[in-house]
Amino acid sequence: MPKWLEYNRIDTPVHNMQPLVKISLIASCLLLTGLWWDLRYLAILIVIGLTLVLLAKVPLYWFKILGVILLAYLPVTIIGILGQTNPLLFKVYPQSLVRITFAIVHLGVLGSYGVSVGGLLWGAASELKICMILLFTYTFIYSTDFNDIIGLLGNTRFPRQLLFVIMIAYRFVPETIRQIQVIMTALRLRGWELRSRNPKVIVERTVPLISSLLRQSLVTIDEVTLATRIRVFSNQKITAFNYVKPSRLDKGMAFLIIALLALAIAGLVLFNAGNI
Amino acid sequence: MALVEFKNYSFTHLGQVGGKALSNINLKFEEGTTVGILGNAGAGKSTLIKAMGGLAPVEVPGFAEGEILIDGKDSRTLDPMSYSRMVGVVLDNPATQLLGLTVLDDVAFGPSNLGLDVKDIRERVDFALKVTRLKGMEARNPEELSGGQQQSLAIADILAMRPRVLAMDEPVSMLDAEGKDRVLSIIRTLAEEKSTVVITESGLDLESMIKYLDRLIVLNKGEVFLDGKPMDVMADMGLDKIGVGRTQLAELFMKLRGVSEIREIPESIERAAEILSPRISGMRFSNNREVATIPPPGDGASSPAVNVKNLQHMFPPDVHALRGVDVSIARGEIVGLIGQNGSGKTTLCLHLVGVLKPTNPEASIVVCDLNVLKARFHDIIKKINYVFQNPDNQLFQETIMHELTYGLRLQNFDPELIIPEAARVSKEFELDSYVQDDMDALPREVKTILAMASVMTLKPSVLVLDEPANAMDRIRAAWFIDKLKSLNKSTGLTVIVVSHNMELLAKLCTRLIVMTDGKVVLEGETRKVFAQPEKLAEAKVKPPQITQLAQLLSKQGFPNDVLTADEFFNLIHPEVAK
Repeated sequence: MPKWLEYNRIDTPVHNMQPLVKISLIASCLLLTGLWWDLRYLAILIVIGLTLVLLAKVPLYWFKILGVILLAYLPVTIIGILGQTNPLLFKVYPQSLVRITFAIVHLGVLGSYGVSVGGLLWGAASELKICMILLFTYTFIYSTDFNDIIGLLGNTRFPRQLLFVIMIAYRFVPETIRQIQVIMTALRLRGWELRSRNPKVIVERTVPLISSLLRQSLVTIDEVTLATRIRVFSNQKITAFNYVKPSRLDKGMAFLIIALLALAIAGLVLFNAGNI
Repeated sequence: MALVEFKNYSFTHLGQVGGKALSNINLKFEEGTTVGILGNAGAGKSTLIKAMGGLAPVEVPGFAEGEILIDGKDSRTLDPMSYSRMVGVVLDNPATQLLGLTVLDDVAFGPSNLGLDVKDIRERVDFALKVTRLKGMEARNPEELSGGQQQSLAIADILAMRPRVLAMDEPVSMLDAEGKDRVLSIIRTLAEEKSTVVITESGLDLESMIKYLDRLIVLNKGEVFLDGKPMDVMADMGLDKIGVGRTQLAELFMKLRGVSEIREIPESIERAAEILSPRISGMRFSNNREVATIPPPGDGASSPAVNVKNLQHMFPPDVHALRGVDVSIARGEIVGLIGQNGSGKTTLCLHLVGVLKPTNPEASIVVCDLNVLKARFHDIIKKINYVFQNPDNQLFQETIMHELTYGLRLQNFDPELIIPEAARVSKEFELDSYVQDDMDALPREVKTILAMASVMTLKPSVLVLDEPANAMDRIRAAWFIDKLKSLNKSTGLTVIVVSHNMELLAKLCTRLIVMTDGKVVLEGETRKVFAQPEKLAEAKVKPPQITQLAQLLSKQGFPNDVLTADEFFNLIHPEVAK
């Protein structure tokens, strides 16, 4: 059963993509999502993101949280929209368009605030970016076996000890999330509730949760330490086993993607391509 | 020369007060033998295994006296690398020992650390996977494996290091019947190949393991109490003094020794049947054994304690955990819920306490007249509550008294009555002697009892217990059974026990519900359910050992629903004594 935010081993073109190529593609898309503000450019990334999500068969229920995130981010977007009434802020969108203002208030030294088409276009891009970050991140998590990343890093000069720490963290993070859910259930069965309007009460109520989680985490750390000691994990010579090297074609594909990214960044810096 | 030798060895844990974990141990472990270490909780079994594996006092802080010789060498002179080639330790919790993200990586982890070349690693991995029957699962994530497979993988991890001694700490204690069979078959293979294996056991799974042992050592309060051939140890009256239970077969044959010329204590059901078969031929057996009377749910003066209708639950995207479950439990019943891991038992129980909601609108769940699907959580927990398998999930405070008062404080109980009520519960559950102890220092079985006591402060009418006897030895399990029965009798508490321990269920429950694949496939009075081995086999469940023996003899007219050694003995002893 694919759990929320966990990799699922299924046979899709995205799952089967060479990790080096996949990492290059998704990292490039995420970077451009951060850099581009022009809705026309972002539309290209949305098409790529949706295609990847559909091809990877990311469960739709993962996106249930999207509404909550967008809503939570909405105040920031609204403040941004209200603050962008000055048409001169926009260098690419037609001035005739961004100048259209629906309401404006002048607050002296604090500047002018209101709703303009320019601000709305910025706001739309801002909320869209959140959707896109989710699209790319979900695709990556759902379709990428962490072993592949470990394998890639293991193939480089990345310190194996550090790699092991990352591996252990990855191995136990989902476990810890599940643990928190179980402890919260156990607490509720004693009459506990986290919800309160008083932040002080919320903090007080998290104490037993943290205390129980901490106690169990310490036990887990002890046991993992014993397990690594039994299997003589130390600084001595270690054989790199089962690390898959990317083929020439994979390296070529990754290079091509990074070259396109470089081109896009150059376009943005030199010609404002993607800017608003 | 012994592979491992303890010479006047003692060990005291850091901060331990009142005695030593191990005291003056003198033991030799010879090559090619399978040795069992038996003892109650706190007897020193795990410490012995950790000392043998070089983990105590290096990773387990404490003070050691005396010496351990590994292949004649003082263990203190061995570096971890050399140690790992001599003794490999499998700990009791497989989940925290699996460090790789695939089965292949996990097994290769140890050999890689030994700096072997890739070809050697591959050979060792292949060998370990073959012995543990994990071939074909190389690419799977260890987290996705069943409990039995995870424990097999933990064994494979150590086998790949090729140690000369394999030491396992309670390797089957956390597994269901199928998982136990899987791990026991590995132990059998290792025993047949004359590997050197040391296994600890608290007693509850002794009967499934004893036939593979060449030698059995009993520890008591850190000292060697008995040491000998397994069946000789089982026959030793000293076991009664320290309260370490025997297998049901040993219990029966010890009784028969007293009234007949039978001297042998058989190690397997088949051998027991061979011994008894000629002696019972031609006998007529009484059928007047005690059969529990089950109050008809909702048919009497009161409504049922639990009434579930058409309960379905689907985990996204398409896992049917429950497929239309109908269950009715009368007030005051003690019901056992059995089935393989993943059969839906825990999912069903989590619905009863309102933690999970059905995924079909037609479902109905009523507990003591309260519609759980519409009720507030605060109201539900006063009617029904749940004790988790791992007590650490349910303990949130620093001391026992804080823990016992916590639920009452959250329920806005009268402040003046909170302390007296907690003190009463502490006394009732015999926790008073631990009141001063730090929560972390409590033995696991005490934590389980504390978790149950903390929930009982809320006085629920129905209590759900998930694998309550997992960490308990036979003495504590017997105490626990008596406690539940007395609570049931004095307060009318309805109890639902989820467990893989059939002996416990046979002694405790009036009725059993068997689940497979999200459905109830069999239910009825305990005796009648255990008398249907074919149906139980479909659910991958085995009846208690003594019931299995009765069923082997049933062709000769022997009742196939005997639940305890006492019952068995009472049926045959007048004739066998002749």
